[in-house]
Amino acid sequence: MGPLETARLALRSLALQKVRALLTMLGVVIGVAAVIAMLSISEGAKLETLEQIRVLGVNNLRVRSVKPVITERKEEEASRENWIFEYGLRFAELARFQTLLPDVELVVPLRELRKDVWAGDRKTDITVVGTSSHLAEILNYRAQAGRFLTPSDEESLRRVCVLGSGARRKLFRFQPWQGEDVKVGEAWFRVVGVMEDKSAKASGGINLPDLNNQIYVPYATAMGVYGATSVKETTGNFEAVKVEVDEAILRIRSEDRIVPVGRSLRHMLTRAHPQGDFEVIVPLELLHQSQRTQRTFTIVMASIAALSLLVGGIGIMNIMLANVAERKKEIGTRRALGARKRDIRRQFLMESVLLSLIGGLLGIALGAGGARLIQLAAGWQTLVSPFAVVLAFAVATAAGAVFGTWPAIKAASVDPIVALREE
Amino acid sequence: MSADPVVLFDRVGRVYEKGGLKVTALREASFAVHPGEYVSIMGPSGSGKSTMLHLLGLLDRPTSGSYRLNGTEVRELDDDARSSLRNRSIGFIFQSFNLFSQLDVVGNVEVPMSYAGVPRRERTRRAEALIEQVGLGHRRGHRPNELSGGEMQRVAIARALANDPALILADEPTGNLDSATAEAISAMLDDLHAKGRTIIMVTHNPELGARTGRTVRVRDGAILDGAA
Repeated sequence: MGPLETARLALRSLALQKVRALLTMLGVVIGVAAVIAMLSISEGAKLETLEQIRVLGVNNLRVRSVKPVITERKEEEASRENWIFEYGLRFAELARFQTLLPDVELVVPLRELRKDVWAGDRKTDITVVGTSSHLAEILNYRAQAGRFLTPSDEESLRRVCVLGSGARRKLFRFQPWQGEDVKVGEAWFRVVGVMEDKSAKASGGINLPDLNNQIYVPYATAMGVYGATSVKETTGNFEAVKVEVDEAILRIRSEDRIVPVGRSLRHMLTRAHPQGDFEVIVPLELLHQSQRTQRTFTIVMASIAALSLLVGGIGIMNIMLANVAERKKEIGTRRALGARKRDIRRQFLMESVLLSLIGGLLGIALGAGGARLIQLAAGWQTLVSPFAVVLAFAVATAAGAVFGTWPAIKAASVDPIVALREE
Repeated sequence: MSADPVVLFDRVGRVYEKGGLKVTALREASFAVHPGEYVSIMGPSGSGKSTMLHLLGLLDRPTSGSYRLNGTEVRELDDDARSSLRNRSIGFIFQSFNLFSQLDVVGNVEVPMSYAGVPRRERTRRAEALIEQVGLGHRRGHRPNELSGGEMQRVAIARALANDPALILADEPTGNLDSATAEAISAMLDDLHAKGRTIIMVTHNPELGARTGRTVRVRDGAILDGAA
């Protein structure tokens, strides 16, 4: 009998007791499903980190202004004296980065303006960002039509703006944008360009903005028109906040200098900002950190996988031993009809392997479905990698072969004279 | 009887060891069955009848003497060689039919041929012809649990004939059947004998024994008469 025929016979034998077969597989199903789901979550997380780094640029560092924790006394002070809460990076500081740290090639400021953007008489959720002409270069972000901001826009404080592709859609739909003006707060800006589509997946740790949904105006113009102070109304309280630069992106000359520059930068900023109102983000560090987490995760997963497959394999062995005991008459009859010991061994081994193999397949389906559900429910990115599928499949099948060996040997050693015994 | 015997027992003995005690199940049994003979083996339980059946069917080995099946000395053959000889030379018919519940009628009849390595198409063709021959053509796709006792035994007979064996070994073939069905199965065995098959039947039913050409009587591990 060839392997295919043996497999067909084994399938038919298993089909005689479908519920038992399913229950026997359960251990392997759950084990494999857990591994597939977990691996696809960690794979998705890795992909997300890489995507963020890709969007951000591997050679870039980010420094962000962070609102420090306000002590109670200060808060009291604030409400009494109509105090403006001032924190974060100063524009003047940015120039110092470049002079003090020769590895810094470019510094681009970003100032998010909390202004409403009007499309006709409709308010939109588009974000306005004051920045410099180098943003396009540093993010490898190109204009799809027209142009990006230029140094002369900044020098002349021109009231011009460049639209992200999503912002253009919201503001103009299919109408031409050339020569049109956009109302930002109370001021008008002339549209001079539209950027290409830059997809950035939903972000976790790094908090990447959606570039497509932004409008860019020259930093200097924005500061001139709106100033650094913004007022936000929160639950009946007016909060006045003064921030010059929300974020700066720094391009570093070479990749291997990023981590040391990040360290020097932290050092420098800690001295200038003892209240800790800043954050230095090194994408490469994030990657390394995620790789470390990944490694731990992989070890934990591998242990769970090994354990569940061990349990699943023992379950299969247990049921197969019971099968052999119940089917002694069949085995004896097969021997009487001419089956050699190895034919019987193969037949029973095939049943064990099929149990774990089908269990593995069901587990892969269940795990992939579970990963999909998690993605829908929690919004995490997941990826069922072919590697995970192949690994799960191979390990499950191997478990069937290992734990099926003893029952198969027992089956082959059944005395053929049982075929003639009457019970 | 000029041709070589199908079965030649020469002083065959079988001694079991049970907890250091030697039990003689069969002692110095000598007899021959020639091609085309229909022989019954009869005896009360414990007489050594079952042991003879196991030895004849190559399911057990003699501890002394010589057994030639179709001219081949089987005493020294290893397990695989005996399996293969059993597969090609012996067709078994069991008291409780021993059909495989996971296979249909055709599948059951194919089993001995699949162990003989007969190609699939050929196997199915031969199985279907045999099923037709035992009058179950209309049942070929059924599972054993959908058949009556008589039908099951007819499938088993077709299966016993699958590899065109030199010897058919039947163990109480009508023991689990009602008398009408039993008669039909006995008639079928008579018919096989008439067509030239060599059959050995183990039974303790004297009526059935009487239908055979010769009866070998066994008692207390020895052949009483009918050896030749």
